[in-house]
Amino acid sequence: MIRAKDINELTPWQDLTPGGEIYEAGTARAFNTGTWRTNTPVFHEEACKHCMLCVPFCPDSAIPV
Amino acid sequence: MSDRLSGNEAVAYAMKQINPDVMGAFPITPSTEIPEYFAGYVANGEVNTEYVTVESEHSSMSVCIAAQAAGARAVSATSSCGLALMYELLYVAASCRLPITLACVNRALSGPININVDHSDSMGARDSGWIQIYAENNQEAYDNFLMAMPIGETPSIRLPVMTCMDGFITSHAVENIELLETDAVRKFVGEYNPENYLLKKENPLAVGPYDVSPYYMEHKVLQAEAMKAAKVRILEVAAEFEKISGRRYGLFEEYRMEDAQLALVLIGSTAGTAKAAVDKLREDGVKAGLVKIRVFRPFPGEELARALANTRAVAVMDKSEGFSANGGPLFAETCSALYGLKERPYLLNIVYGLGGRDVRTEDIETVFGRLADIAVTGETGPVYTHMGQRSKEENA
Repeated sequence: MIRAKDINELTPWQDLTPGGEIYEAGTARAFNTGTWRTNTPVFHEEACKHCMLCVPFCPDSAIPV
Repeated sequence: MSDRLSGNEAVAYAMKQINPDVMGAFPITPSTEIPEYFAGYVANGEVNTEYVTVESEHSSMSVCIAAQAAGARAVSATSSCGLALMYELLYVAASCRLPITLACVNRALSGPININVDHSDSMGARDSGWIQIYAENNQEAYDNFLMAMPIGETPSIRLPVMTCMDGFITSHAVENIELLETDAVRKFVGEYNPENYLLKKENPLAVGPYDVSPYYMEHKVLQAEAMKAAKVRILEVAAEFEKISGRRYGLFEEYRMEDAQLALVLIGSTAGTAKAAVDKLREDGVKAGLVKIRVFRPFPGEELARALANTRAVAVMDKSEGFSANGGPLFAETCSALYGLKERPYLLNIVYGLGGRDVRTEDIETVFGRLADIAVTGETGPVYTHMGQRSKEENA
């Protein structure tokens, strides 16, 4: 079974999978998928001094109102 | 056992004997009867098929793709605009290497809207990566459908198969045909056992990924190699089929070609009409013959070149317009196949029968008359021509 770790941009066509199928899960761990985050922001209420700089900045609904 | 069935009945019966896991069902003239008859089998409990009534042909192919990826045998049937509506997904099915089986009952693409036979629908899909096999008559329609799965499901092939038959002429006309016993069909078709499938417990499967440029070409080359390999596999399956049926099939049928000087290349039910014309001409001493293409994808270029090598003049008859302004699709393939020959016959293209326009034995004889003239004079005249249309001009 061809593993994702054995596939890269130098792999010849004979060693790729038919239709680009992948036979395992979690292959995104092996490489940088893109510039989106994988960490979730967490709100620490005790550190908050109500400066409100987070409001225009935060793309997630991490701050409870 | 023999029975009298229309092409649609025969294909629906073949589906029943195979007992597929899933059918994506949507109606369109003239293929509607296939899901219609099959619905009867489902309702009567004669099959175990999951019969999915969808909202469009785009969805019926989507259902087939999902089911086949999941590890099930999926079938569908359509025509004309229905096939066109599946367009995006035909490519997906083939590139995901899913051996779906589709019965395409050939009907002209709109517009103007026409429900009669021509090959524009399946010809429009000729680059989608599907194996395409055409039938001349009801017997072939039945036989081709039975052979589809053993071809497509082969691990080294894994390509979807489209079995085509002429709308109304083959789909609706009733003929006496030989059917196989259901046990023989089940044994011949076997079980679908893909190595990997979505419902496989041992390992997950991701189907249809995104390819950046460094990967797409390699995946396509893999797919192209599978299509090339399909030629041999189609012949192997035909040989196995001959053992159980007594009927022999190849990539094409050569009719009275052994010493033919003038020949036709064509697809579908017109071959029946043309064979009658060939017989009449042979009685008159004309060395006429024809090649009826059965497998259009993969195209049997080398083999066709050998079959036509010793002819003097050939008319390639296209029952579809590709609007290339350079000839129809079958003509383009034939030209390409013959290009490598040291000595080539004169080639003529005749686009005929569009929108179900009738073609009679007399019309075929006229074509052979043209070929005979060309063989004598060496003057082809216009290469890309139409036949059967009303025209103010003399020689239409």
